[in-house]
Amino acid sequence: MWWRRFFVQGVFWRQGLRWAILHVPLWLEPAVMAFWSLFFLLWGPGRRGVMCNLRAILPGTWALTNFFRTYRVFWNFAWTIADTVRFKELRVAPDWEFASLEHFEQLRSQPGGAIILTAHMGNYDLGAHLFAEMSGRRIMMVRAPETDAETRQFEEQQIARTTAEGLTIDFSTRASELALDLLAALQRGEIIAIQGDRVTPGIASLPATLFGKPMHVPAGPFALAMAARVPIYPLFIMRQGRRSYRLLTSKPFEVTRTRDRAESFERAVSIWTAELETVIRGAWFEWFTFTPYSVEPAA
Amino acid sequence: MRLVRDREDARWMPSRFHFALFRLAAFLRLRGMAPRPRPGIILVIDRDQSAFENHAVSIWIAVTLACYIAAELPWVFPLAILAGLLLAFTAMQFMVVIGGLIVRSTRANSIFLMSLFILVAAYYARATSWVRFVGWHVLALAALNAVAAVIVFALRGAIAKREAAFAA
Repeated sequence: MWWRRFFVQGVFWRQGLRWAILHVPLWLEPAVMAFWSLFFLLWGPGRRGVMCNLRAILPGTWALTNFFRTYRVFWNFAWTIADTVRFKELRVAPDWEFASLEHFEQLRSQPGGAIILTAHMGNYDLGAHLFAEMSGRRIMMVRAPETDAETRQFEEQQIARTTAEGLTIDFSTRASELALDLLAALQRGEIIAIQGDRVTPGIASLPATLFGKPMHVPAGPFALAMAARVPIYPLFIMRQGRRSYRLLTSKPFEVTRTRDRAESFERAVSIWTAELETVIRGAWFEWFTFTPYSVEPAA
Repeated sequence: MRLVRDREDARWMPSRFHFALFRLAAFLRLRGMAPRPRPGIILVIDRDQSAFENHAVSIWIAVTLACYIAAELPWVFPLAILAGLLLAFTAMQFMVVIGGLIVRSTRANSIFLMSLFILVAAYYARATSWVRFVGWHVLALAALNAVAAVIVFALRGAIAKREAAFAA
């Protein structure tokens, strides 16, 4: 069906974004962003998903206030995807600021492998590209594939053409073979970047609690950290303003092997969700989760 | 990609600005500044890097276009300006696409759209209603930017010397 390409996850918008990056004068970009962020508020499921999550993050807030907050989420999302495409197409990077530099340096100089656990926050995609280019270390990024077939094909073409040297992108759908590849990469001393705030269907998950609501996080990063005995670094790439990002690296933690695996995972997941909660609470406008994160509807 | 590390004052490097007026203002600001070290910051040297400049120009163009449209609408001013703003934002999207399809590059589209904007200002500057002041102010700012461009060109040696200090 040809009209599927105009759906919100259709390929038309990806192609349009790429075209805009290559043609729109930069001094008109804010007006273009403002317009299209408003246009995408018409996307009901996405808008309602963000509003539902905002109710859990900021309890007691009005629906109207959350509606305007949703616009801010869409606005930030538009800028981050535009910055990523600009970097990939034109190799123009944004400004960077490092928070908790000591943890970042520790990650960079980590002798063996490590896992970067991140979330759908700020510009995780651009962060992986820049990290690979600037640190000189090999990094393997695992992400969920696009749901639309044409978009997936377009994205794969873009990845093949524009991905930074030292960066490999793989998809979380081929779970069993990918787990072995990731383990091997960690044992070779590479860094694996995984998003730990959303579970792709068919992927093993662990129960967690975020903002008092039950949810699931992918089991993969925790199981890998335990198997390969490597630390997990929570890392977030936060948008500060136009073409400006802050890289926040938190204190690493390990998933220790004990007799009780479930307890080890539970402890690691609670460290991760506590970190995630702190970061999301301070930057809810950059958490790009367009579906309700919790199976239980927010009160 | 040129980068400056650990220097907060590099934000004011003229090379991070697009229009001559902003480049000149940045140079004047930078000239009076002592070096401000700040570990953990990486600034990119790109002419479109300034958030303030790009937002300011974007808003200025949108409001100016809204005034032109409002002047054409037979409604009371507050209603006309509100409708003008909505129509201006919509018209800008069309103009960007049309410009992009004609000239096929960011730089060429930038020159094309700015030229068109100045031409429209020249048209409205000849009107007899209040909107002529809007047209005049655009022409005045364009002229001021041209003067600033001449000054920036004359100061290019001093600017390059000041910017080279960041590489040291």
